[in-house]
Amino acid sequence: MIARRLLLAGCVLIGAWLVVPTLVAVPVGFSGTRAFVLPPQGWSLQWYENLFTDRRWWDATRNSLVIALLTTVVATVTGTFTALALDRSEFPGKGVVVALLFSPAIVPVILLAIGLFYLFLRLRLAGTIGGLVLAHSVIGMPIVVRTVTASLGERDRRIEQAAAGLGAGPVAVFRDVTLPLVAPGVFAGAVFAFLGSFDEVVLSVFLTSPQTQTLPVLMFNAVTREVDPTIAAASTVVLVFTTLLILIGMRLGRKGLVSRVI
Amino acid sequence: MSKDYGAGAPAVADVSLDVAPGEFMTFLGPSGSGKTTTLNMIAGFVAPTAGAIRLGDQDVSAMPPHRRGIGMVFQHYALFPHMTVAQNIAYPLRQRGVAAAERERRVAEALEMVGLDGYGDRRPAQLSGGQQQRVALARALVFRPPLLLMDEPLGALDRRLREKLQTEIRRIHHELGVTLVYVTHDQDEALMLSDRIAVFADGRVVQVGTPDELYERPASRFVAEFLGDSNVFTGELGAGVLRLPDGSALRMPTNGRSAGRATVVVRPERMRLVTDPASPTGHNGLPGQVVDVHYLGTARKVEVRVGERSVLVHEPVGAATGAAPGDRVVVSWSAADCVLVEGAG
Repeated sequence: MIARRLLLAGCVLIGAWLVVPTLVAVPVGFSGTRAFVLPPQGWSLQWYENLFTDRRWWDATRNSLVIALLTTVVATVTGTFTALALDRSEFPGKGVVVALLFSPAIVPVILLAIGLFYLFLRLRLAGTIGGLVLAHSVIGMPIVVRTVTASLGERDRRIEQAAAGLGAGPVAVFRDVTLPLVAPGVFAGAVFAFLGSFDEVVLSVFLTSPQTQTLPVLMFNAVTREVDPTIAAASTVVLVFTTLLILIGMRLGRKGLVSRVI
Repeated sequence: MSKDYGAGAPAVADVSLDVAPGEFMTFLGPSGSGKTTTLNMIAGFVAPTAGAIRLGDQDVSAMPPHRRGIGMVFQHYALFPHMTVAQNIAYPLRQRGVAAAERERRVAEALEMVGLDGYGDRRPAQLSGGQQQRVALARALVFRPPLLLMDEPLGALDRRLREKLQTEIRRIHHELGVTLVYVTHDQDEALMLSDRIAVFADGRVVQVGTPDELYERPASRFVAEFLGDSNVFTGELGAGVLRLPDGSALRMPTNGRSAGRATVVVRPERMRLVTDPASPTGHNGLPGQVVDVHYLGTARKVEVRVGERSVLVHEPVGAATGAAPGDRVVVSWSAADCVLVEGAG
């Protein structure tokens, strides 16, 4: 009994340790004064008002959403087809190709950022939305490959054979059977590609210009330069938004695909 | 035709079979005997390394599966989980461009045929295994294929359901007159369902015949032992006798076979237990002692020790002798019931 209570207390402590720091910003965002103080002195919605009316914050939010959406499209399409190609082919050196594919997820992001920074300077992609989409897709695509590969591994190939036997050509089999069967993996991958882009900081710090500044970069800059509870309001919005996305992703990818990626 | 995967012995070697239109042909054999690979070659999922597959007058060896127009039912149903039952059954019709009204009518007809009227809007996951296999059967037949392939379709179902579906498969086969190739490793299923059975072993067809031909006149010890229980005697063949290593002799028809080592199979239900050691003319009698008796409902399975060997006798329950373990008995059977099989082993 005592052991059980100790275990429970331990779990609560660890849970608090994981969650509380994220939640600290929430009350600060509703503060009545221009100060990062806990507990806040007085309450107001002025920082939220500021967040949604100040051009700087609004532009950054829009940039982030546009980049994240485009990244989702690029990463999901390329990642899905890569996973399908890997599933269908056996060739010498396949292991090496897979390892290279996943390397952006393993190599320290800062190294990738520096490399891309110099490359994009030459290609005149630095500071552009297109460049950021490409950079974020490098991170997002392996995630999609992984979730789609997991879905492909779970599917029953006999179902595709059945469709072929019933008169479906290769295109019809793919459209009617394979794609619906791996849809949960595609959706889960898309959600994570979006999130990966939406809260990406390191690559973005190197690759954004003042015009293409994303929300996380603006928050990062703001928190180092000024003390403004608008950051806390922005954090809260981002927190709620990303949590919602994760919940949606978990519903779509019921078969444990999401938990496998996290 | 043959299939060689490159490593080790070929999966299927020199299989040559003719299936008549409307026939119920079963491929029977242990797992790994090549029966499923052969079926997959007919369906077009596996390409033969050598040989040809003809459907009617047409060589379909190089044709992709979706052009062959063959129905197939899989062991694990292989229904489309994201479609309703009706959408599953309509799928082959949709691929063939059948108009919506006609499609609906034929789906309803197919559902009725398998006894699932009113289940059209359900998802496969909401059905039991037996119901799912009925849907798979309806889906494979709705486009009226000339040939239906079934790959251990009842393997995942429990015994009672299996028997029920066996009866239905037979009924549907009779009603539609479709040619059916059925794969199973269950000998009782093969005997009950088939017009003819092809017995597979190690990638080859070892015997083809009607169920009673295979059962009563097995060509080899393998077929005899795979289909039901059997007593196997090996010895030296002489004029009308098989001399066993222990010195005793079995009377039997030699059918012009030359002398030498030979193997004889006797079915347990052809044997009787008697008390009189003097065998009547044309009969064999081996004295022994009852070791064990199993009651099977329809028969009593009696194990008798004869010298160094164990002999199995099936007594019909209505004519049982009541022999009990320990009793001294004589195992008796007609010489005509000795079946000479290939090979001496």
